[in-house]
Amino acid sequence: MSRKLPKKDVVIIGLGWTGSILANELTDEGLDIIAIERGPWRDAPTEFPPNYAQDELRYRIRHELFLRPEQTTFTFRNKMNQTALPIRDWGSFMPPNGVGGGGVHWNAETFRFLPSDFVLRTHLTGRYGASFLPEDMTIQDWGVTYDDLEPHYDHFEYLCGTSGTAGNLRGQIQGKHATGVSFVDTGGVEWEQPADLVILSAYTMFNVQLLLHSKIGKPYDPIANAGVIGRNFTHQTISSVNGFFDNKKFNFNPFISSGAIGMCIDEFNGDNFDHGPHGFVGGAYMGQVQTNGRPIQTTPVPPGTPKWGAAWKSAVRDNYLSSVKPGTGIHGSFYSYRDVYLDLDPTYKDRFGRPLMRMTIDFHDNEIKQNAFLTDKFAEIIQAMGAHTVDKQYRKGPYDATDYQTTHLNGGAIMGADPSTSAINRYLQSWDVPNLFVMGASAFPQNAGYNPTGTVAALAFWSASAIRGQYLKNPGPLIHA
Amino acid sequence: MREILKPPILLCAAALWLSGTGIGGAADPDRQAFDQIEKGHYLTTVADCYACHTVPNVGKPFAGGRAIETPFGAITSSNITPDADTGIGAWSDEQFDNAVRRGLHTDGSRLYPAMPFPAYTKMSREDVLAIFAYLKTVEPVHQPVKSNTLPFPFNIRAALRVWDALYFTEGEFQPDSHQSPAWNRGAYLVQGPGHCTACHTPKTLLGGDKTSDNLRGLNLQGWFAPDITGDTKEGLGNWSEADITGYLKTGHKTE
Repeated sequence: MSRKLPKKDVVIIGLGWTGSILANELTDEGLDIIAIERGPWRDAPTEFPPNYAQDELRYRIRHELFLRPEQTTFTFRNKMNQTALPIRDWGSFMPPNGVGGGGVHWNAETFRFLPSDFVLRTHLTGRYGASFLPEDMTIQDWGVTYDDLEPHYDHFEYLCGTSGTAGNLRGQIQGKHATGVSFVDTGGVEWEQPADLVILSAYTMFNVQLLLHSKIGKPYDPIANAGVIGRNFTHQTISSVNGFFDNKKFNFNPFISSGAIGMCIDEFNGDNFDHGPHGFVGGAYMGQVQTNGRPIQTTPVPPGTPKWGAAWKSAVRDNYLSSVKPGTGIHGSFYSYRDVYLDLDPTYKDRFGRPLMRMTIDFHDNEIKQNAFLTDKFAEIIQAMGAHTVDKQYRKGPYDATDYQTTHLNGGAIMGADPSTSAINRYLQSWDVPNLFVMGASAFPQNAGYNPTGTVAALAFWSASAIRGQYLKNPGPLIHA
Repeated sequence: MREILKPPILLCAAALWLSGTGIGGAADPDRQAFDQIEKGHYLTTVADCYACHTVPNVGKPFAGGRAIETPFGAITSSNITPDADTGIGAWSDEQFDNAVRRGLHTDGSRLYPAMPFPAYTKMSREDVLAIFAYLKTVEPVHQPVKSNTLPFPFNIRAALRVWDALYFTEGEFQPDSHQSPAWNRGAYLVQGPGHCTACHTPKTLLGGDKTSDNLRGLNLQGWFAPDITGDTKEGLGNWSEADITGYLKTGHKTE
């Protein structure tokens, strides 16, 4: 039996980037808002003091700041005919926890998606013909265009002080209704927070999970290719090339580093190049973003070096300052497929007896081909820089839940123009429950070869603008399908 | 919002934790971690902090203000919510540990042993910090409490130095390697967080435990706390495990 709290105008579920943006935008409208966050309060002086914020053991290895799998986890499998098992330690992504959400471990690599990314299916079939795309690839247009989002990208970039130089190494510049939320506190007491407007702004996986547990929207069924919640789940296709250089001539000084200082090229991203001869779609930015010189995991040694002992130590010493291990490397797109999706696990339950989320995810040939092509391209660059040894680490299938890529999980509650293939409309409003808006990368119909935060934030501002300009004046569906 | 929409659907959120602030220390466990808070919740229940630190029926949990009747007068329980001004919100790990296991206030003065620190001293620092982690997540309540409401001469805290010297032995529980893990676990719970001695052990004139009569039962402020030793006549010697667990869960002995 839950205890009821006083009703608010708006309840926000999850206080990361998008929850904070919506809270700020809607309090400007004078609304009474409460945000509910599963994890702890965090602030800079107590959580990120300069004396141990860089503690690799604490954060990278022991995963402080992240969700504890004991609290809740997901089950994972590659293929629909396999049995999924629970993930008991985070690997390929790091689910956030606490105020700030995933923004807490944000490197601030901020990209805009390409105009063609938002109309991907239309664009690719127009340029290459429908038969160029794999049959089971389920990419969609977003229902929103680059031009729609441009002012909101701008807003976010000014907010963050995003800066840098766009250029080219050769020197030429290029152009129903929700009633509220119920939750359980640390003492095990269940509460209900009623509100007129519900903003679901948790991490991708939890947005989808809450929709499924709340029975909002039709669950996706990959066999029938029907339903929307859980559809078009995607991640990222990351690979790397380590380069080893003569330590008498090169000193890259890994101590001078930060999340987003580096140089990248974008010639091989999205549809910036002709895919016709290559037999795949999608792309990546690639480059050297030097994020750290952490002593535990940043010890690249040339292939063939013993894994331990005196020879390993000697190789670490010889190469520590004169190797490049790109923080990002090849940051590739991951397009959507009929058999890559989220649903409720039939076996495993959380401590409240609710089914865990099940991830069914694998790399398809398109992404493997894309990655091989791009990794080879990147290796050419590292070679041209003067490396004596180049170690290409291709992304290969099957998808491995233990190997960190990025925390950019996307989709599962995607936006679009058609309620039969999308969970939310172009304003991120639920098709089924008009007083529910769902923020975040769960809205991406497929993932582009970029970091998502800029687009996630632009979508949040775009949605907030629609709520302020249209919804509050006339609460109801903003799009009549 | 201008128009109230009629609500057919309740969005059931996952377990969402509301939480207070924390001050990270590099050496100690992550106090904001779920497992730490859950462990703290469990131990806070075991130590029954709620019972004394909450005014029955009407008080906010852990906000203090409950009068604890003692033969020497009433002592009012303190606010142990994470309010920075009137609770424990601004306390360090050290200060909390000192209060729980050594009976020391943040200013170094001594707590009245109505706070069962002579038992809590048996707890480990890890367990005490887990309780601290949990208490940091409860609703902060701004409520000043004047704890010392005793008559003269008992209101002189300095006298507690003598009391501590007589009746307080600081030190963590030491397991007995000749006994089973279950026995040691039980001994830890009874002697430490469960603070069974506080009510069940006869007291001296000054309110200290008569250690020779450990857990032999006591009449305290009109409440009868029975003998809970293994004595077959007065105590629990003839009780089965089911009798004890049933009694603790329901307050009745199954006959």
